[in-house]
Amino acid sequence: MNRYETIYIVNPNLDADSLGEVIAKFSGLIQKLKGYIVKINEWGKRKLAYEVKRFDKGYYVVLDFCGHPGMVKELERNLKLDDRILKYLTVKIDEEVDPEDLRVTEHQKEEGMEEGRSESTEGE
Amino acid sequence: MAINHKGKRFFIKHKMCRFCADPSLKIDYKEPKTLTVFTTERGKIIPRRISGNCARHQRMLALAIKRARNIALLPFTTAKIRMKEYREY
Repeated sequence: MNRYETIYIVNPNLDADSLGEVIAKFSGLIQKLKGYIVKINEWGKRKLAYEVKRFDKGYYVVLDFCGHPGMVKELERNLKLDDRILKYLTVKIDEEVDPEDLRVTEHQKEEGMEEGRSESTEGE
Repeated sequence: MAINHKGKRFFIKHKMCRFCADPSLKIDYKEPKTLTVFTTERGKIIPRRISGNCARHQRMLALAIKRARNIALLPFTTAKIRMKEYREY
């Protein structure tokens, strides 16, 4: 399995419900294709550097996941078909990763962050 | 950019690659703020001989800028904006 990162820009004029639906659609698709989602990061509305489909703003979503190359093809095909998506980009971050390993390291990271937080509050 | 005694503008030369000097500086296409430092006002990538980057980091930087352009975080060019301004006159 490889680790990929897909950024896609959603139409900024959608309401919160349909936006959630779009995000759930693509994260659900990865799970359906037996991939493993590491993280979904929503950047929110940002100004675009140039107009895309006559929009000057866009809602950015970063999807960090593990999967096989065929999955990326399927995901990009679906992104292309959806007209609520303005633009997308997939980048391969790592090759031959074990999703189990990632799950453990992500867990440790979260725990580390929580510890750091509690320590800082104690300090105050 | 600075001005020398002759009143001519020139770029301050960095003797060392900024990314080699500071390992905490990361080249990431998702952070357009750090990338814009290495582009001109027109959106072009600043060459290595001016920015002072090492070959390895310049290559990484160029790739990151191209990726950022692809996802509309950085402009390919600012010519269109200028045309808009021009039309307003």
